[in-house]
Amino acid sequence: MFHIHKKTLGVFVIGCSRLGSLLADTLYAQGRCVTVLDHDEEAFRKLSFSYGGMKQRLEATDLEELKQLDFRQADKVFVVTEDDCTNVLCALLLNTLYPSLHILVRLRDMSRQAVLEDTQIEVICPDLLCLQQCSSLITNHDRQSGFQRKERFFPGSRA
Amino acid sequence: MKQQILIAGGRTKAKSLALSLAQKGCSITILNKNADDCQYLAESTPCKVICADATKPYVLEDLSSSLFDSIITLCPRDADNLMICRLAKAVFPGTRTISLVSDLSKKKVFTRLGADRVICAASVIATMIENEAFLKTVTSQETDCQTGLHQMQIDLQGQDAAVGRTLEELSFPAQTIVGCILRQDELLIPAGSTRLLSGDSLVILMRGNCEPQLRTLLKGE
Repeated sequence: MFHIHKKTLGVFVIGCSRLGSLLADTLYAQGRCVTVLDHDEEAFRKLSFSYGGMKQRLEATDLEELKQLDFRQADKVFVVTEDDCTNVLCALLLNTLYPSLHILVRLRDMSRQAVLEDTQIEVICPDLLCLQQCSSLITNHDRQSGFQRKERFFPGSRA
Repeated sequence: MKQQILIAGGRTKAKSLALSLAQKGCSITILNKNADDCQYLAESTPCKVICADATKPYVLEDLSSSLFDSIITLCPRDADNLMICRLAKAVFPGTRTISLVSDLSKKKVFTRLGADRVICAASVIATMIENEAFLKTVTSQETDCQTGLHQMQIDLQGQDAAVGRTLEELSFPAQTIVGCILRQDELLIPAGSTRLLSGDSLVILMRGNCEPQLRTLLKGE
């Protein structure tokens, strides 16, 4: 009946954006130890009523504030504020402070991925995920309707 | 060849920097995402002004045909400055990036993260005040001991006798030493081979008052 809980490592969500709040809600519902952080406490209103994890104020690009929060007990950190530049700076600061921390960053503009190429930081691009979903939908539809694909070759383009 | 410099972000800072660099013979391009700022910069400087967001990779890629020696970022937000510096490293390999940072604690980290030179207004003021306080204590202590350590600052201008010469070539009076040179915003600790330039400020430490001799030597007065 009684589970012996191992001390679970937490998940930090930086930026209580639409994605951030949804992520925090979902992870909390899964029984994880979640902390959601945002510079604006009003943003926490986006969380659902059932959310019972931690909420904390944080200026995501402030090195001192990041140092004060203890991310050593974190398993994963999602950096999902509304702004790409803030996300990149926050992730890089975290990466310098805690080199072994698993950091995932949302970048709206996928052409900015190059900025984090030489690091261990994982990048999530909503556009790319959407594209994958769309193309798999199309592929399924093709299979059903029997559409024959023809690869087009453009002069100058290399396969 | 003229030095090519790209200035990203900033309004009045960009204007004054562009004007002073243009005067020194650099070729300046200004990038700013705000149309109003662009209008102002185009009217007040002779430089090429482009209205675009420098944190977008395609903006820098469009400019990649020109070879910039340095890229200076003056955006108010540190995050934007870092993004531009890191993008610039990818698009213009070999270009020097100079970034403004508002937060003193981030200065060191920025150097590791992609900006070649980091300038923080707060740290410049802090070191200035620290140095002044230090020099004050040194001079006051020394006068107490009656050994008479004096410190003076000499600013070199275009036609001064010492401009263009190295410290070795100048014969400084005994008991004097050039402690440091302030060149633009940089602090140099000089060696014998350091060549003096117009605009340098020399901080000279000496025992006893050698000010007249030094003025004759350096300024030709």
